[in-house]
Amino acid sequence: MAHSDHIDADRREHVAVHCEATSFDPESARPLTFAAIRIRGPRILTGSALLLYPGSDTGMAEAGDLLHAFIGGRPLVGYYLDFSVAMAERLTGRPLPEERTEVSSLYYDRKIRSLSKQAVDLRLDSLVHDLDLPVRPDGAFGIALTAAMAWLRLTQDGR
Amino acid sequence: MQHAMPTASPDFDFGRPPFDLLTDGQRTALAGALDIALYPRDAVLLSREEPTDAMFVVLRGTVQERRGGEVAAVHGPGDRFGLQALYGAAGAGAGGSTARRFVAAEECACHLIPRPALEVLAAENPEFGAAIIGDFAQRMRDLAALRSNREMAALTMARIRQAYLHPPLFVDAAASLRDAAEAMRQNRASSVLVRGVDGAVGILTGTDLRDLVVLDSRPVSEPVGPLARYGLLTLDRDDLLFNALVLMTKHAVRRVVVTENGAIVGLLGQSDLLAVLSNHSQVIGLQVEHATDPADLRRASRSIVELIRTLHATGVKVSFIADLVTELNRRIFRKLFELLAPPDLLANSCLIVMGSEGRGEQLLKTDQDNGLILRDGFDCPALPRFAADFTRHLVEFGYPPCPGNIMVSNPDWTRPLAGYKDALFNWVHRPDEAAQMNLAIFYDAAPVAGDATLLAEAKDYLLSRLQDNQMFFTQFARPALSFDTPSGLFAALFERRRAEAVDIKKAGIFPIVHGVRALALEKHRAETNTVERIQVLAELGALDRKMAADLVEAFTILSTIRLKARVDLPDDGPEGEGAELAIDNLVHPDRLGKLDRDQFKDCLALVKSFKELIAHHFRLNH
Repeated sequence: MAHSDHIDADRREHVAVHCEATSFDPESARPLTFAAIRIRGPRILTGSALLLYPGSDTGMAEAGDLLHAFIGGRPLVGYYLDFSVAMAERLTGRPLPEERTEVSSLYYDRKIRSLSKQAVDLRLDSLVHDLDLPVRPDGAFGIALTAAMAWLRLTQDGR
Repeated sequence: MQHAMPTASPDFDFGRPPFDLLTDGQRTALAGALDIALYPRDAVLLSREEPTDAMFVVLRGTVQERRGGEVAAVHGPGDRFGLQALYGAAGAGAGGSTARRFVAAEECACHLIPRPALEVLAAENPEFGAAIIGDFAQRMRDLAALRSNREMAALTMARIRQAYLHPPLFVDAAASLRDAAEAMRQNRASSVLVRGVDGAVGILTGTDLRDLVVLDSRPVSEPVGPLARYGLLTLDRDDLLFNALVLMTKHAVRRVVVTENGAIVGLLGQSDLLAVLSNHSQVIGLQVEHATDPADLRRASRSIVELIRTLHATGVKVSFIADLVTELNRRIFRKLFELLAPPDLLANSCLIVMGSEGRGEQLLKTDQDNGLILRDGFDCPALPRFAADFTRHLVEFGYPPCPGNIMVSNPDWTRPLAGYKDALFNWVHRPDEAAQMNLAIFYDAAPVAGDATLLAEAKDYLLSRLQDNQMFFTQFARPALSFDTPSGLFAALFERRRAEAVDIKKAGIFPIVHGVRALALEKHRAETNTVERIQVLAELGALDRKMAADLVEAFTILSTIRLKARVDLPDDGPEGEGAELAIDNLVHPDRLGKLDRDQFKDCLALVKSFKELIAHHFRLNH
């Protein structure tokens, strides 16, 4: 198992996660793909990312264990993270108590300071365009990577 | 339980060399191994102090490579860096005081190729490996050109002898492919040498075996003779490692055959070569350190000249050559001193070098300017004999005797500390021309061997004797003006009297050295190097920054022209072992290229105005 070597979580690390599912209703959706990518400092560890297809190549519970081990207590980052976390909790059958950072709300806080009247466009494509991120937000992996990049940009700028 | 990773979008640009050398499978593997990093403006991506585990490829934005305060290079999208940090020495213990840092000039994104992934690819794809290594070689050449990186430069003189050689593993031409594979396994070798029928030697590598048997379906019983590759790339054991690197890069191979007196003594692998290059702190002057008698030292000393030629020919900066030559010469002096001096002399004296040697500015072997400070009360009966031997050996090594007889063999320069203090007292208080000169070169003295505190004490004494005595400094500084510097009408001069040679030392270098020396002495500074003195004077406000920067540049250019004038001279006749590059101070403007000539002109104009500054500062015109 390639990713369980990091048992003790490095506090400076975060994990970007995203889940693609059959619908957006957390009650009825069935998870199709999970992507999880660690972030260490300015570096997004795409080379050792975790990609799971629960139910097709791993059992649900096994996928849940892999994901749990991979996250290993690190704070989570994501785009519409609550949905992904709900899916993950369904997989693992356990709550994910880790601290969560919702990238779209970070972005909202940033924009609301400068744009007083207009509504903030929170669509991922708009966010990528506005933050000028070098990424295509396709699939679970692409969206997790986008969330990781957006989180870095938004937190780095605020230093 | 991991799926093939999707390409880490954004896509990595595989169209750019050397990545275009990778096969589709290797590209997929690389894409899966990549990390991505984002940096805000002004973030430090990589610094000397932080070793990295990855090679950086810029995806977006601009990264500046800074040395000290200067921007040494700019890396844009597609450019890569960090290989030096991967394979080079870590910062610890390196002599460079100016740190190298990579800084984001704007918001940046980089791909990071982890070292293990890079190494797997280099092993699988020798051509790619060679390109990456070639990169590294280029990088080292660049680094060698930098004064701050004295360490790296040592590499340029490492010999193959210093690397681990795999013992040669021979099989006969009649041996089968299976025999060859078996021999490789038993000896843990990655290749075998094949003795051909006609006496030729060929090579068969593990890769060859794989290709022949697996891909071409050759029977393993087939003899290796006709299958081996002949026409080996060979180098002598005393060749430079650098040449091996160049050869491997050029032919995209991972090993060369090493010979000694024409016989094969081993194989040098790419990884062994890198190992030496990465761990080279002790490389410099290894020959000197291992010398057991003066004859060994003599050989080491003679090879310096060749080294200088090579360094100069590869475009290494002159200030760096001076650093290296200074270091080597001092090591030779120190070693010779240790070889010849009885132990009690070693413990109770300090060997010093003075003048350009002390300032660390000699480019070739210049006259000996050395002396010995003895501890007060120490008596050494063997001293006269030792002193004569020391000087004689140095002359043999090719360091000409000092015309002013400022050498260990002269009792005036081999005396107790108290004797030096007396002399200093006289030089300061009863200045005549010789005293001025002695004082000047003594002020430049640097310790080479023995107890350095003796020299420090003598110098402290010197500084304590210097009151703010305007008369003294006026006298001391005056020689800076003693030679004419042609300028102003210089252009016309060039036109009419092109062939007229200019003594670059008198007209350009000496006025800078001495003027700066006088200013430094006035400020009681302990530095001995001219450039360091200029920098510290600028910091103290004794020189304005513009003038200081111009002076450093002019000094460097003039020194370069001076070296070039000599090194570029055609060799006259067959060079014996004793061929020397004596410094010739005459520069023939008509032999300079246009660029050099223009620079030369500008430098002399600057020297002229510096002399005016000195004249004004020390009231030399009154």
